[in-house]
Amino acid sequence: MSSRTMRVFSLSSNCWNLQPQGNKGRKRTNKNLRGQMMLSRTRTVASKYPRLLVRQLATVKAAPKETDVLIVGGGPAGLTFATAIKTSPELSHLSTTLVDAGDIKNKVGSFYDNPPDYFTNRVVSLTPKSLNFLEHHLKVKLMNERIQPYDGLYITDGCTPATLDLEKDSMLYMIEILNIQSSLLKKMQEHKHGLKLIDQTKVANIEYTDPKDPQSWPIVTLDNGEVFKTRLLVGADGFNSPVRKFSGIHSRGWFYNTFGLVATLKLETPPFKIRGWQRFLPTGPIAHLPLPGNNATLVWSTGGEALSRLLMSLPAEQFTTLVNAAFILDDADMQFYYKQLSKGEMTTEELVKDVASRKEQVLESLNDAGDDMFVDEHYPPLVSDVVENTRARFPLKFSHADTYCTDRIALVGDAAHTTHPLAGQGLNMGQGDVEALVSALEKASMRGLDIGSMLSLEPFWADRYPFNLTRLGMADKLHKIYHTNFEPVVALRSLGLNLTNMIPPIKDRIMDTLTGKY
Amino acid sequence: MLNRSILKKGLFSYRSYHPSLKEYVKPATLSPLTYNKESVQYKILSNALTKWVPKHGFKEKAITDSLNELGFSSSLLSVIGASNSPAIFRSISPAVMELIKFQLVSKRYELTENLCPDTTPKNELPSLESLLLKRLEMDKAIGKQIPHLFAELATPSSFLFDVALPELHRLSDDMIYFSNEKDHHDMAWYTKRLGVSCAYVSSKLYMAQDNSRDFEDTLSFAKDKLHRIMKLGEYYNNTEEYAWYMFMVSTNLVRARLARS
Repeated sequence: MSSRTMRVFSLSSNCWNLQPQGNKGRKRTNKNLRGQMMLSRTRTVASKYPRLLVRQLATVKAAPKETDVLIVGGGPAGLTFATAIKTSPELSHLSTTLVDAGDIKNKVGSFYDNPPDYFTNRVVSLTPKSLNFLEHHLKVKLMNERIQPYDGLYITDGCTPATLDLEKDSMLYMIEILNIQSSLLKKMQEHKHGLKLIDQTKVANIEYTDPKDPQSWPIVTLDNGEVFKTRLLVGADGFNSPVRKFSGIHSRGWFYNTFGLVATLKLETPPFKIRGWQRFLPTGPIAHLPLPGNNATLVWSTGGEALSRLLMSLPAEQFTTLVNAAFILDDADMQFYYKQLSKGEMTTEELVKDVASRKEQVLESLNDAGDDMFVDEHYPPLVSDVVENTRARFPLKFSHADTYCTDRIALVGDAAHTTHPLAGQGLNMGQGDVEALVSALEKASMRGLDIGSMLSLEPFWADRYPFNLTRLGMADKLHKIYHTNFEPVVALRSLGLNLTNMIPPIKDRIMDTLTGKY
Repeated sequence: MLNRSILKKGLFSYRSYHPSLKEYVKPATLSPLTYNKESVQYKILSNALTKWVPKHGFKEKAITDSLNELGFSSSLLSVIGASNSPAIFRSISPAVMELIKFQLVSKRYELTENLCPDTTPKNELPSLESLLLKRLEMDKAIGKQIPHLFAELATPSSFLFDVALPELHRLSDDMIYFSNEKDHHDMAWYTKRLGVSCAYVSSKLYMAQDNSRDFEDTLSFAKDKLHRIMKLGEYYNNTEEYAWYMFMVSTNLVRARLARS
């Protein structure tokens, strides 16, 4: 109950008792009598407590703090958006509040000054476009010693020898999400004026000031008791976005019945070629991506829940053996190992020995074919260990919101769309959203528009929707094409991959798409 | 006080809007049979089915032998077949029709005897596959007679449309309803039942010619068949979902383009 109605209520009950009780009372109808009884009952309840207390309790909830922009979610998208507002000359006057459920200030903030000596497991590949936006547009100083640019992608099919070899200097950049977040936080400290960061707090409730008028400012109640009234509410709150639920925007999509498993790997030797390696196994793609020194990161999508659980539970040595094997051996071999390991019928020594002999066979057969190649050219560097406690898994899904904005609400990042990590586009799409939203707001601000109106927000959606749609569709189709070992599809996709590899213009086009040129 | 007692009474004697199983009397007969388990017919026919059918097949002889064994007069044969009208273009006695009907219906009830989907949680119910296999295993004893049984069931006649087909679909309905399978309330309700019926009939046909020990081949065939049909359903659902997504996305794309102006 809002304070105003509360106060009116208690006043009216006071008034009631002041009314003279006289002859008039007898003439009242039954209905009025009942009304009187109810009112006098509430009056007695209220009179049990001092009126001052009642009024104070009411006023605690009373005045919602006003803010121009309220961002829910302190992930890369939310933090980038906050920083972008504060660094934009047109928008920096807007008071901005960012709310996040996690421990942003301490846990994420301390990463910048005291980074751990290992690499954390949440690593993404940043396109030059996104990097440019962060470094040159927002002037964020990323922790450069923890970023690894790489010079190409080597993509293979798990069922046939088809390959696609993309090569370009500093094509993409591997970066930890914590690196992005903490660098943004550092930057935000320079712009403290009108910027409020509330962490370890969840959004408890959202409502419109006037429930009948969607153009009225939303009132956001936090679970620490604070209440905000905001001109523009931005949902950067991920897949299960509360802001999207409140906005009534429908999100369409499906779960992939696949888990993504991530881990930080230690290599036997620093890599000969610094590039990303991806192999499309029928269970899902496995990607091995470089980090500085002899570190690498792994993203392995494992079809079904059981396989990811098995891989999570294996001892480090068995796990690394399987990672090494997955890039070389056939699916049938891998399935055999999964089966034996899940039954517990294979020891580590047996596994290592078996994998080694199988690998030998594969490499020998390649040599016999007259292919005098270097192993390093075609297979990723060998993994020697996995950093403790960096193995984690999460369900993969595909979703896309019907629209990214409605009156006073905008959605960015995963709240608007989630995708399969196989093309490394998720975070970059979020960065693109932020860039587009900021430029739409800048334009609106210069024209003197209300930044929460549809007129200001719609260009952002119109700009991003077609782009995101093609990206999401691309990842989804790749997943579908490669998630099968149905012969005709395998033959067609291998032909396609080989043809692409032979025709440079198409290759360039793919490279440009991946690196965010289009 | 008065109000309160009325309120209490009202609370405890409410009738829900939706039908509740508790509000219905349990049927006295094993519908569509016209008798229940305690009846004489049931005793005669179940005895015939377990003891004499494996020996003689679905013939009048099986019923008369059962009648003789239980000490009834063999003239009861006409009483047993009384609920069936005589076949016009084929030579099957009403009593044999009743025996065939009895074997279909009684085994269907037996299959789901101790299951109650209203009270047991979904994940504790048996799987559809296990129910299908259990139903096939029930016919192991009359394995030799299946070709003949099939011939009688599949001959085009009123018996096929009044008994054989409805009983088949009732069986697949029961198998889905009493298993942990998801039930639907749209067109999928029909397609799913039709799929299960197909799996059952084709497994039964396989069983008619199966010479493997203990019908092992039939069971693995049934598993495979059911798996394939379920997979087909999955494909269909995915396609439908994808088509709907594409439709919505296209309209959104047009809206986004229009918003650019």
